[in-house]
Amino acid sequence: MKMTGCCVTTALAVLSWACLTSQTAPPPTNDLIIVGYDREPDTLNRFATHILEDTMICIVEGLTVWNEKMEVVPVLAEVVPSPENGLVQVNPDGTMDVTWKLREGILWHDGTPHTSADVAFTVKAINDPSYNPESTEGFDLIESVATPDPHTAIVKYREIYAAYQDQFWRGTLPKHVLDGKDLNAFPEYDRNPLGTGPYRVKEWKTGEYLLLERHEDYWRGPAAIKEILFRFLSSSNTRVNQLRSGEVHVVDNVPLDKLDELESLVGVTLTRTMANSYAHVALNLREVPAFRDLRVRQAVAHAIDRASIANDVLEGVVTVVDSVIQPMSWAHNNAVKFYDYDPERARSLLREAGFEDTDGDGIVEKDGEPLRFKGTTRSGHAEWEMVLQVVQAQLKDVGIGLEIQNYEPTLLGELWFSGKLPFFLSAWTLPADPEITRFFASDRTPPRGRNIYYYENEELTELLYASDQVIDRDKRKELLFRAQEMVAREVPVIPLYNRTIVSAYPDVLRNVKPNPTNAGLFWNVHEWSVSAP
Amino acid sequence: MGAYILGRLLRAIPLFLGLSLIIFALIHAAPGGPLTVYLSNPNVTPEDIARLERNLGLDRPLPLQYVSWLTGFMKGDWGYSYVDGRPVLDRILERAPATLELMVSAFVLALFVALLFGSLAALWQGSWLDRLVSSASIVGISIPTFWLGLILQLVFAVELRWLPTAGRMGPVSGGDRIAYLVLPVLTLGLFYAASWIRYIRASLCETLGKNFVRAGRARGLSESGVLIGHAFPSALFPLITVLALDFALLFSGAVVTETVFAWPGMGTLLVDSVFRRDYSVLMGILMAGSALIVISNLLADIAYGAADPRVRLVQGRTR
Repeated sequence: MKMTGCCVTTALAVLSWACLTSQTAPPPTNDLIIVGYDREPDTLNRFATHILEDTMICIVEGLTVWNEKMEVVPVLAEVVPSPENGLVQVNPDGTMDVTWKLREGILWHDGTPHTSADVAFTVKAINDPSYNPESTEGFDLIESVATPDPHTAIVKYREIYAAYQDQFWRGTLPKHVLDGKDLNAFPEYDRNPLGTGPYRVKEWKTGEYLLLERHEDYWRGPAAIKEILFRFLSSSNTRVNQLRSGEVHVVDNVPLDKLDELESLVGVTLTRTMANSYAHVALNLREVPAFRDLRVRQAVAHAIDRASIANDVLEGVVTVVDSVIQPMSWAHNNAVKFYDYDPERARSLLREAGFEDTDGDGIVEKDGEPLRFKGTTRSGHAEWEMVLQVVQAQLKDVGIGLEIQNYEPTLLGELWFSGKLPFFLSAWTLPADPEITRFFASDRTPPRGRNIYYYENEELTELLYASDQVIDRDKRKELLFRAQEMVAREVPVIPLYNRTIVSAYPDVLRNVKPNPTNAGLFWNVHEWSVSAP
Repeated sequence: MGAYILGRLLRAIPLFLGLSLIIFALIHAAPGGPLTVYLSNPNVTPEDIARLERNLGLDRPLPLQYVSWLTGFMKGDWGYSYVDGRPVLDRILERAPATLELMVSAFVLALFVALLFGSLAALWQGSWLDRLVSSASIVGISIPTFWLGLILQLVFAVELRWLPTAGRMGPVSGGDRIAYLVLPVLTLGLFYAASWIRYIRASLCETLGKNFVRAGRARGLSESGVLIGHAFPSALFPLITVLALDFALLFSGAVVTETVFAWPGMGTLLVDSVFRRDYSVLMGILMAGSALIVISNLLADIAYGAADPRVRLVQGRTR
């Protein structure tokens, strides 16, 4: 028994020692900010991945960036090229020249000047067929890059490319470091990229954290915060718990189902930002023949009570939207047709389309075929799972059978990309440029594009392609307005609500300007500072 | 003994070959692939996907991909991650110490708790202590690891703020290493402690009623002498196999625990790799896990032979 007592005492002593020696996490100061981050980056090479811009944007700057109002603003460029300032030239042969004037005096972190040769090298590297960038969009339209002087790069496109202002928002690759290297197998750069930004990598401990340190010679002057620590916390419960315990200071993209837990937290600011992203239901016309009838699609739209979803289910955090281009975009049309919640109208439209509940089972049918299909969203996404359940009940109310079958993200991606999801609740997060051709042009069904509705409309297709070929913003806006009206009227997709980004950060953290695009929360990190409480 | 071990290891080779084929087939049978994640980006074109498939060798026939992986694996080249392009072996080796630290600590804790309370329950069989320990062990087995982890986080980290919520000691000290280890180890260890308590109690109860124990007492041995010298070795002898097999199974528990506590081990790497369909990393981790089970079995047999002189290990069989 003495031994037993001894063992128990020892165990308790170890536990007590562990507890007593632990200290509370450091508070947010200009020395250190700790971020609870939802995943670990694969790489910090901005061209090799589309996710986790937050970490990369602190290190590698673009020639432009989207600000908190979703406007394109210059960073490493002196100005944003446009026809108005004469830096964009459309040639009679249909080609286009875009002149990028680079800011003078910008140095890479190693002290080498950032020049137009880096711009030319980036285009060459991205277009090299042996390289594996995530996307070559826009780059594949570039014929050549002329560099008349170190601070001028003239990019010659084979055809008009309306989204040219976003071409170099991911930055450039340093020629003096990467020229002649195999970019697919150069972990030195992928894990510690050379940039011009306010921070650089101090330590990346795989699976644990990424620690950034301030670049003292940053061209806009050193950032106020000395170090930023990104802790990789994949579990949203753990992120929220660490925020509550003070172990992390900043959490972005707080899941809406965790809002209640955080609203009472003292010393933490919660901001809600309309994102350039919308939750929607995609109707697959190929998988569900009934959806080829406009009246059925309209009936589904009328059957869904979007206001109730936004206000009751999601507690008013989100805003109902009707258009597929979001309100903060210059191309947003807020006067498109909308489908209010009208179950009686939905039933009437179904009857007009020939659907009646003849066997009394609560589901309408036509020619003996019940109007029943599978509805899917991402499993584990509490918000969307909840919304889909509400939609299921609302559709049942008008006689439409929805069987929910959710999948994990990778499986979902595969099914979605092969066009096998009849009724899919999801969201797009979009870059600032309002191009929507890839979603609605008839020839952009997977794998060519993201027309997962398999919706075909030649008039709309022509309109969309025309909008991609116009540089003049007013003219493009007019075309996109018409396209939005057509999509809203034809309703291959039912926009539900604008996604709201909830960011949590300390009250004492100043100049945080949440960004609606995938530039993320850290796009202006050089301006951040911690003031005395 | 040496010949026995060598024989067992040689016999494991065809087993590993078969396992590798099954694992490879199962991984590739799952829908999706390493490039599926890119599809959520509307900027990625079909040409981008085709180019990536070609450059990463994913467009080759599956048998060819398997043979290519196997020949590399046998030469010590475990391939490269489809996610970050780094060598698979590097990715696994940098994570393995954290997982081993968690597994060994949880194992030691579970064994200590199980021995202590299993023995106490057996010695005071039928008492309130026995009933309490037995009930607690049923609760311990029944509680899902994931839920237990979150509750421990809430109580000890969020509310009491005695311990860190998650992680494994960052660059800024928020406590020492043991403090970070406590909650994950408790979460992982308590389940096994609960299951071993029941095993030890039952085994010891049975042994305490045997003639040789009564004979020991009759010969005037002290109670502690009877317990330590006779009852415990006999009762705990079968536990060796259970412990050896459960040590390998701890890895599956570590997957859940590591995810809850953001513990940077092989468990979180496995989960990430499953979701990203990082075939080469998945193959590496699952083959390492298989090796762990085979080695645990071998160690169990060796320990069995060492602990019981009646068991002799000879090549081909245990007798």
